[in-house]
Amino acid sequence: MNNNDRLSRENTVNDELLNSAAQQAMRDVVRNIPDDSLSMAWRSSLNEKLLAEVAVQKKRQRFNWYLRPALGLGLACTLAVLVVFRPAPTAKRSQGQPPVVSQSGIEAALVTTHRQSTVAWDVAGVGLNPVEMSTDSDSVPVRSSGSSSGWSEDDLESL
Amino acid sequence: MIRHCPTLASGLALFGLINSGVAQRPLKMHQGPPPTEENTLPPIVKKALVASRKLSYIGTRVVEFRREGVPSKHEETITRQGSHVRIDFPDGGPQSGQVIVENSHERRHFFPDKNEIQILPPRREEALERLARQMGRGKRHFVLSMAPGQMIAGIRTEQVVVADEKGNVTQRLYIDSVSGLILKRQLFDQVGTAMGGFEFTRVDLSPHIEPSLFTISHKGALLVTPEELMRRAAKKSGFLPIALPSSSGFHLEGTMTRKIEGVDVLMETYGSKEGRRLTLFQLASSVSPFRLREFAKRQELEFVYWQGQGKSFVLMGGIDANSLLQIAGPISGGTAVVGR
Repeated sequence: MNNNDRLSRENTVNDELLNSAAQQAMRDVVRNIPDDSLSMAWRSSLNEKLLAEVAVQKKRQRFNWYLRPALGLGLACTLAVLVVFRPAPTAKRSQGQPPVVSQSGIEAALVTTHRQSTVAWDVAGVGLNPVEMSTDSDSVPVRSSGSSSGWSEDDLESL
Repeated sequence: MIRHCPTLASGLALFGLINSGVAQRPLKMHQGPPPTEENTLPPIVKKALVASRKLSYIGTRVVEFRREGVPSKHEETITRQGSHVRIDFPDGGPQSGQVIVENSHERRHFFPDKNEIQILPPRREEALERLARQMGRGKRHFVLSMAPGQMIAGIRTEQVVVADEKGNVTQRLYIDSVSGLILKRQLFDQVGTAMGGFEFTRVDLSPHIEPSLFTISHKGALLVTPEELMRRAAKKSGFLPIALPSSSGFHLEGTMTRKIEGVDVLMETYGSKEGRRLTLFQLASSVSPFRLREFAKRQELEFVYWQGQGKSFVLMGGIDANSLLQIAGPISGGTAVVGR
């Protein structure tokens, strides 16, 4: 019962507000606004603009359809070239591998050295050869040619 | 008999090569079946072949070759009686006092300043054998021709010119027309540059030679082997003491350390009974097998390479790559690869 009384009182207040002079004046203003219908010319031009925009977007999409794979292929080719023709690694080296040097002439020099060595041995025959010329290393005995008395079989042979 | 007489073996080898294709001058040589006609050889070459295993002489010659890239010249006196050879050097020279004696079994080289005798494999006088091998190298043809000789050490000679099939001269031999001794020999590279040679300045072809000349005796001298010399050189320069095993068919003949293009290199030279030569390079840095292949191919050489324990190894020679791979196997641990 109490609830119904309270609701009835609120409705009465709202009706009074809606029927106020200010509300009535505003209602009249809205009613007096002229009815502005859409221009067909404007709509037509809008459609044309939209169509043009769609065409441009389609063109862009088609271009991207070709461009993106081309870019991908280009990137792949670049990577392939880098991998195939990459210079010898300089920083990283696994254990057991010698350091890399930049001398480009070492390979040619090795071949030349072998060839010259072969010729030198060939020319020297039984005579002195380049290796025998450069035996300047420290003396390390394998066995002494002399016995405790300092004599060897060579000495006996020469008697 | 052939096994114990390498000179005879080398002579027969040369007969084999030369007879296979020679009919008349110029003598075009081909690798082919064994020879059958000895008469096709130029008489002077036949004489040199016979003389190489029989001659007795005492002669002084000047030898010139490239050592570490620069021409090197020295004088030595050879006393020869068949397969026995003794080499002496002039007083006052860098090799003064050194003596080399060689027989069919070994070669002994005495260094007075170190009181040391190096025991080395016999080298023999392999000029004719090497000539035969060079002429038959690869699949190239070659041409032998005769040319006017010179007076060498007061002896008239006949000249034998060895050229490739395009006419590029690779060797000139000046042979005593009476005794058959090769008195002068010149070798040239692919573009005609002299690579080395020797020339006798005096020779006695009827000497009296005491057999004791061919033995070396020196109290307390140390005997060292090529393997020990290799270990010594490796230790001194910080290289690994690695050598081809004797089962490879190649014996170590010498070791030297060199700085090549600024890189420290241990260089071991090997020879076989057939007179083939190999070089084992050990480097403290890496090499490019691609560039090495490029240069080796120009010289008709093969090589294998590998790396290990901080060093690079290159085994190079004039034999096929698969054989090199097999030879390198024991010391490379099977990691060697063919340089191609």
